[in-house]
Amino acid sequence: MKESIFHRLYDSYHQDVFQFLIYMVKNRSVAEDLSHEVYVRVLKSYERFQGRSSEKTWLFAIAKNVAIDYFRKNSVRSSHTFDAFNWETESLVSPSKTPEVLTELNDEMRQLLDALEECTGDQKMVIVMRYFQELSIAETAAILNWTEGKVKTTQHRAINKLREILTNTTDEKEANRK
Amino acid sequence: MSHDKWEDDKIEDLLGKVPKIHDQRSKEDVLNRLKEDGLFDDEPLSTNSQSTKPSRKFNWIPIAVSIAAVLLLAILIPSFMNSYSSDSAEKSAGVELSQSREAMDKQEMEISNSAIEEDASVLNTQGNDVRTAVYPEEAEGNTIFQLGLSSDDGDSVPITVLIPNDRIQQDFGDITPSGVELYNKYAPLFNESAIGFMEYHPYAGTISELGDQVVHTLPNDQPYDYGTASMMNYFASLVDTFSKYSYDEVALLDEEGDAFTFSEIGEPNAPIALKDESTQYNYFSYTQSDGTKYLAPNNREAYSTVEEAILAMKEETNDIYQSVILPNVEFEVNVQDQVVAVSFTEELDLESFDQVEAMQMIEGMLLTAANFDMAVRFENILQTEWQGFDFTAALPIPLGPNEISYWTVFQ
Repeated sequence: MKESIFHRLYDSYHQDVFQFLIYMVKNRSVAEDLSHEVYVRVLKSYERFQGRSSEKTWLFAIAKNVAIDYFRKNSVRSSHTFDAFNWETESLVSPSKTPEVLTELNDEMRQLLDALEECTGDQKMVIVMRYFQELSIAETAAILNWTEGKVKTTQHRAINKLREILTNTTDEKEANRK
Repeated sequence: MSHDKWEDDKIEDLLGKVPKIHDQRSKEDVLNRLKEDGLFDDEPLSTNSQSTKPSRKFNWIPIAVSIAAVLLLAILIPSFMNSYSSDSAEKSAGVELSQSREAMDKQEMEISNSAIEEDASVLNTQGNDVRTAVYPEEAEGNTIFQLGLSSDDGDSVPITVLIPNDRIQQDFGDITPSGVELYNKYAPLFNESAIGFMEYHPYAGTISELGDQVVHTLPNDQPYDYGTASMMNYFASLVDTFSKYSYDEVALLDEEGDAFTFSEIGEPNAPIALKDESTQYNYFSYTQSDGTKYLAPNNREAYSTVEEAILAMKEETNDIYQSVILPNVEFEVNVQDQVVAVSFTEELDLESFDQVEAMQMIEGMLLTAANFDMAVRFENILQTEWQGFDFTAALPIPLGPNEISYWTVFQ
């Protein structure tokens, strides 16, 4: 029975959950370990799932908890101190993907993803869920156990923060060029 | 380039175009790793409906009983001797006694490191008692130690350990340690993984005290503010760890001694209250991934009156915390002279229910009332005595939820 649950969840959500995790932790092998941990927790507690939230939001809520536990246990991220991630050398983007995928990581995209690391944990989670995973406000609220209002406010603040960081970065670059 | 280069629309447009990243492993690879971890070994899916806290959950198979009997004797004899030694100890004989006590401790430790690991809980069981909280009579000869552990669902679960006073005396002499002293001594020794929790204690930084305040001095790279969920877990853990002592609040300071500023809040953090309306929780059933059940607050929902808190125990609001109120059981709640009267609408036969589930309801109500410093008197229960409770009077106020065996977590 558990195996059939695995197959169903894998077919429906695996790549979505994996992408969520890899954008959270930005390391492929860590994301693989964390997705394993998500299945462990899900399969052990599936019988307790009572359908008050959708299966999808329940799964993402577990993935969120697994990611937060990872950050806490490793203390890898406190505000504004996350090591810069090298989008080209780290194996974040699949090496087997077409070159077009790599070229999508142009300067602007790289700046944007770096800027995201300077946002707070809540802001980053909301951006990843809303824009990368294309989850609705209601789904994001259910995953984070927030009100929809808090999701909207956090998303708004995250965009403001990104704009502020990106504008400053651009100004600095311009100043350096002069 | 100009300032308006990064407009909101452009940012949102780019965010929607981040490359899709796929897991390169095959489905079989992912499945095989789970199989290697034994995830599918216990097919068919068990219901765990009978499970309770680890310290009192075991199978009464004959071998276990035999082992328990032998271990019980092996542990209790030196333990009694310790107790006797402690009671009769003269200071002049202190060295000799402490040497013999050390030898006994070693003996205990050796035993505990061997077969006891199989099921250390056997030592702490009281027959078929399914009670999980700690009551005043059990606290005699022991010191209450509490922690808020971090659950698989990213919330704090309060647990209680009875540390034998012999051990306290070994570690602190004749001084009665404060809650903070207990924490600093025992939190680093507490083995969370032994009961299936993630390592969370001791807290990063230092814990000290100043009058009615616990002071947590946090390092700049503290691990608690990755998102508000992580912070709520941390704040709840502080409440579960320190609220039963005489402290009123926990001050969170940076290394310069100023109120700590978390990135999620953006301003200096106010102290965390340990005893006000914000900590008047009610109790629900929480099940860890390993199937073990605990009584825990429902997402830290708090109530201004005990009547509201107990009545709200019927309402499930999420998939994480389950109501402990038995199905089709109705009741009224009234407070008289600081005692909560819970009166069941129809006579309640507790023996007709699963005993663990019935106990969760009774203890959930007792613990909820305890958060308001009140005892509970139950009315219209068929049994006058049940599982160690005397329903002819108000029941004792529990000292803490979710007792965990000392032997299980301190090895």
